[in-house]
Amino acid sequence: MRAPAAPLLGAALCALVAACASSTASPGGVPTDGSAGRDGGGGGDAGVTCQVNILPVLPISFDTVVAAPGARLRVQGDLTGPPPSSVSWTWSATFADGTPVAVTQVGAAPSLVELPIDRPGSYTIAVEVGGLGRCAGRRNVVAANPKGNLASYRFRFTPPPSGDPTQDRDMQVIGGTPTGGNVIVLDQGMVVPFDTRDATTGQPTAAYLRLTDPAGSLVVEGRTTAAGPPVKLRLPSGTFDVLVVPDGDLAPLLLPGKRPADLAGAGPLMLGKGEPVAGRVLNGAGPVAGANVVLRAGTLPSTLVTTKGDGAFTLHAAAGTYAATVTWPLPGSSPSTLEAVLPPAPGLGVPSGGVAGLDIQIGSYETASLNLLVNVGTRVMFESSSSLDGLVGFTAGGQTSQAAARVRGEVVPIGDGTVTVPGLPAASYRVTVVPDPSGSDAITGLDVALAAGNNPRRTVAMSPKVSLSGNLLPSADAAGILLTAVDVTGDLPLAISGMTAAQGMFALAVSPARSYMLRVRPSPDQPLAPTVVAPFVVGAGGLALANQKVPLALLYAGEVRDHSAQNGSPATLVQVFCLASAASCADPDTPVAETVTASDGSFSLRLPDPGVTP
Amino acid sequence: MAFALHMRNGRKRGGRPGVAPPPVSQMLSTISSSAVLVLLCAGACLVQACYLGRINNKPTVQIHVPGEHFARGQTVEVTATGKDPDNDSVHWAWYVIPGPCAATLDPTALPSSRQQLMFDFVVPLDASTSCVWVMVTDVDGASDTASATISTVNRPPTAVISVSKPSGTNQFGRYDLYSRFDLSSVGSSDADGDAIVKRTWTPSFPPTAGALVPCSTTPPADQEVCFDAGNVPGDYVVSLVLNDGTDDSAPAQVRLTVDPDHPPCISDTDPLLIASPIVVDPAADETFKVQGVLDDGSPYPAPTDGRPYVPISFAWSMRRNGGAWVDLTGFDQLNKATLAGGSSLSGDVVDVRVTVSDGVAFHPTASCDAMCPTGCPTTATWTVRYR
Repeated sequence: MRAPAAPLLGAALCALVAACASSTASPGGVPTDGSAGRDGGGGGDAGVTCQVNILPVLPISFDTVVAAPGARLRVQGDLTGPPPSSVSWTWSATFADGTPVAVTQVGAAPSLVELPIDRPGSYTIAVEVGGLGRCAGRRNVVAANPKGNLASYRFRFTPPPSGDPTQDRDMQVIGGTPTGGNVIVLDQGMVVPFDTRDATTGQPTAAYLRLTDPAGSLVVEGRTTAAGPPVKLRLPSGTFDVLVVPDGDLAPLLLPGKRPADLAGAGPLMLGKGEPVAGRVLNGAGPVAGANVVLRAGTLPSTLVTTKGDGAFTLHAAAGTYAATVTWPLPGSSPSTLEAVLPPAPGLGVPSGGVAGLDIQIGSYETASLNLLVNVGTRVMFESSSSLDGLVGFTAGGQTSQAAARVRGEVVPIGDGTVTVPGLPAASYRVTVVPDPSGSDAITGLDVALAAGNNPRRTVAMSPKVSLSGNLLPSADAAGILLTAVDVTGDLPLAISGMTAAQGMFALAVSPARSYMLRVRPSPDQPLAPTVVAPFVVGAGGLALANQKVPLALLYAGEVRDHSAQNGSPATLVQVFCLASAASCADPDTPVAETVTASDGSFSLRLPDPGVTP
Repeated sequence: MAFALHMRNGRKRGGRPGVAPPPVSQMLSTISSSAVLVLLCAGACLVQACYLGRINNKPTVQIHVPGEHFARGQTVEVTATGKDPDNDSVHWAWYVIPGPCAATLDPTALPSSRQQLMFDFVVPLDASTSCVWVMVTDVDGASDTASATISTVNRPPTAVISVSKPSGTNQFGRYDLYSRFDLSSVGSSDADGDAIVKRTWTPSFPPTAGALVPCSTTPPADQEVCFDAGNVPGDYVVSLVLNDGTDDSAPAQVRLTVDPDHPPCISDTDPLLIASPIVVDPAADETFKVQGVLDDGSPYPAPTDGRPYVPISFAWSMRRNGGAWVDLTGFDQLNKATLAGGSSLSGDVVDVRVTVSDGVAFHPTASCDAMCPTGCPTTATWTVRYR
């Protein structure tokens, strides 16, 4: 369920947050704004229902509460149902962070009180009547910062395995307005058993399952086994694209847009052989053994098959149009691998009820050897930088398409630092030498044009690391912050961590000519929130980043309740992600805040504060 | 009871209520038998003039108190027994006079109760002595009194120590290392309602442990005390003695056993390990995340309640097609690692492994958090089949 669209600034923000807290969080219609919290409706004496509704007096609506120095909120307790035998009123109020707020009685009536609203944020007002604590009421009132900017975040709730399913909610916060008392009621969802069976034998078969929420980024994965019982996956409401990839020679299956109820009532997933696709992989010397062939239509693959000695293969796929990929470890050139891809257009048509043919022809090429001398302890990765067009052809339906091809590999030098890779197609290659990251050498790249035959040995001079520097702001709070530059160039996972010095200054030694994303992670006792600096390229001489403002931390606290709306959901992982649509969102897949709920379901998060407009 | 029987029998002789008996009657007042009285009277008439009216005998009463010292506010059931030799109907009156009992009842005193046989005396809340009198008066106005002194005694307060923080023990009934304790005396009481004027906390801690200090400077500062177990396991014993200005309480004591460092465990991953081997498009990014680590000092996500925390470290590595494991450097502070799309080929089988560490080299106990998966895994391994 999505939060309502952004309204105008000003007093209406208050209504927005109140609406968020209730409508977003309670799919079952359970009031979650705390108007008569669960501890408020329990009744007085045995069997007697009794609660206190907390109503606004001044201002006349909770939606128009504005914080200001000297501002006060006056509320009236309205007792419903038979009151307890002795009527005494006990009021209390807390600010968003749990600090007490003084409540004073107005006049002679103990049901009329007021409290100061001198700073923006949420105020939780509670009242008990009768002194037994069983006839009570609670109300969460938000006094929004009228100049606060709005920001939406995606909250993900992952209860423990015995709880409700993992689920996402989009919620909105207001800059400069800390809130507590937020109540999120989880969707019960449905437990769906997955029983994957071979349609031919009727026997259970092992399969990998991936269910993707097309409306969001929620992915639920699982695996069935051939021997075990059906796997049970807890799914929230919504629709899912269900990918089933059997382990054996059975065609994978994609079931788009399935509701959990559809899946639960569908019975066993019968997995057929699919449509056969047969062919051969040949090169100039004849049949090619050991080549892997696979088809892919978007997220749906075929079976993966490896050619035998005669170069023949038969794979299976659901009917459709596919891209095709062949990979082949180049003989005599270990660890080099040739990869060629027939793009989805025109692709390969796999008809229903027929046999598709696919022949793959690997052309002849002149071989060359890569000879390098590098530092001991390094790793050497290489990949053809020029497309080996024309090297591989895919023939289907009588038509031959030339595919884009590349050769890549990775090797560790022998004891003296020598690297020799024979048997490569003569072409241009990009070589990347990866040193021990703890040293001063940088990841060093070089372009090598390999002519046919034995190329002369080339000594690789390692580049030095360069400085990635900058300042985090506000400087007064930005000292001692952990930060990590994650290498997002793509060829290998690599990261460099450090910590800001005084005034938020930092300098990391990184490799030049590579792309990085900077993850900034203040500790919980710092007043700032985690953030990510969007990818940037570090040049040959290093990079001095412009000052990076780290958002202030904005309190967002509350309670996660299970689907009953009565019980807290303990040990529930709460993760908050920025929305990819937000301009400031550099990484929608990394939480900007996360925590685990306490035994009563309560939680406290520090979100990036969207700030206020001056 | 004699008076009760008499009341049931009713009045048996004539007489004038309120008229004092003549001297002869007083002389014979100890003779209780009517028959003897008649004979004696007849004999006397032979000698001199004889008084033939009623001879009244005064009632007698005794008071009974179940002890001498009583708690303030306590209700003491004071009883009385007595006789009226004439079986006359009698009136009861109970009096409470401050101070020790005097020789005689103050004639100006007003009765507190006219209940028969029994009086519920509520001991004053202040430390004091009272005298309870009982007077019985028969229909002729003859009376008798009895008294008892009742003194209050101070009851010492009762010390109770409650552990406000942490909110509970671990699954072993003990506390995790790095716990911060908040001990409260608010559950203590004084049966007399006396204010507690002093709280004496006495720690008995392991040698290198920290100190027991007031949690707050707000008076009464000694109402709650705090200490930080830090990295020192062992038994932390805290005693509390209260004083109400008169007496000390019996000591209350709590023993808080702090476990040695527990090993961490990986409690949640994304993808789930049970989904492995995972089938992935070689062109797609695949991210592996540790979403939960259960540990006493280094949980993940980091705690938000302000307790001591040392970030857990992650050691990531991967191998391709059964080759050697290669460390993914620089990810030791990151709970996730991403294999970028395009870095693998169809047919590749890649294993990704992560091991978490709380920085403690040796864990003397094998126990980990109760929520940990079986075996307290510190390592998670995913297998990816690129297709």
